[in-house]
Amino acid sequence: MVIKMGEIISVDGDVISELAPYLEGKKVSQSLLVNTILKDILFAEKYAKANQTYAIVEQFLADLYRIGILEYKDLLPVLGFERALEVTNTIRTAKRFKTWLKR
Amino acid sequence: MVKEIVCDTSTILTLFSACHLSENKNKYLEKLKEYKLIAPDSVHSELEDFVRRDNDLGLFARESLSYKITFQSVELEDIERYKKILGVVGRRGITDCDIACLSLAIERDIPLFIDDFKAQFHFSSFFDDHDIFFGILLVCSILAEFMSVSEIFSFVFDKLVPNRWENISLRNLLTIKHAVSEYLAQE
Repeated sequence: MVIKMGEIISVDGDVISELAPYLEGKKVSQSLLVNTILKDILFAEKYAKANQTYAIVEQFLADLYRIGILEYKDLLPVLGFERALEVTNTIRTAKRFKTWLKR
Repeated sequence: MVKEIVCDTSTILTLFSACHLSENKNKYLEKLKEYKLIAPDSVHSELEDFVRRDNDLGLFARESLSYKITFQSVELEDIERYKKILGVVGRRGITDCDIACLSLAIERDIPLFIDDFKAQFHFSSFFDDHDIFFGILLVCSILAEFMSVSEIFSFVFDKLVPNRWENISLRNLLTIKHAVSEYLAQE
């Protein structure tokens, strides 16, 4: 997948009109969502060649959890109990570390 | 104010791998001075074992031992007590050295930094009220003094991870990615 610098990304207007109120409710900007998806694909492409599909799926779920779109229970069906707990613990640890740094 | 923290062997190796690989060692070490690094004696023994290896980890371990780290003894009975609480004797790859780090951090009521991801997960499940962080997050916060967000991300995944964790599993790679992404996320 190649995205050229400066290329205008065209997104289906119907999708945006349906998605926008939902994202607003979650206080997530459309740019953040698109950037997150693109970064996850790029990360899998660069660093997780062994299993890119799984890497994309786990990152996407973890990022949607991070930004408040998904909840812990939403991760369970795909990641399983143990990995879902590990992922949410990891994100909580990083949030807590940021709070600790500011003390 | 200098913050006291307990570090396990893996965190010390991560801290000094990053120091070695960063292109601004002086600024890195200047920021690191804001922390007083404390570890149990068993961490010192593990670092000495690494020094004997003829590889990058040996080099990073050697550099860490030339830095001022306060090593303290931990009573065997304290280790046994925490083992009983955790119920992890010889399981999940959690060692007496990991438990000595946990004991030291809890007894002194200061944060523990550990880059053994399974141990961190296990310890924080049992001691949720205690600060148990990843060493790599401390590295990111140090790098933030002289690198941008995108530079930190590239440094971690292009330089630090391949040098520090050779043949890293996808599971651990993604754990690092989730932690670093959350740390670097704008408030």
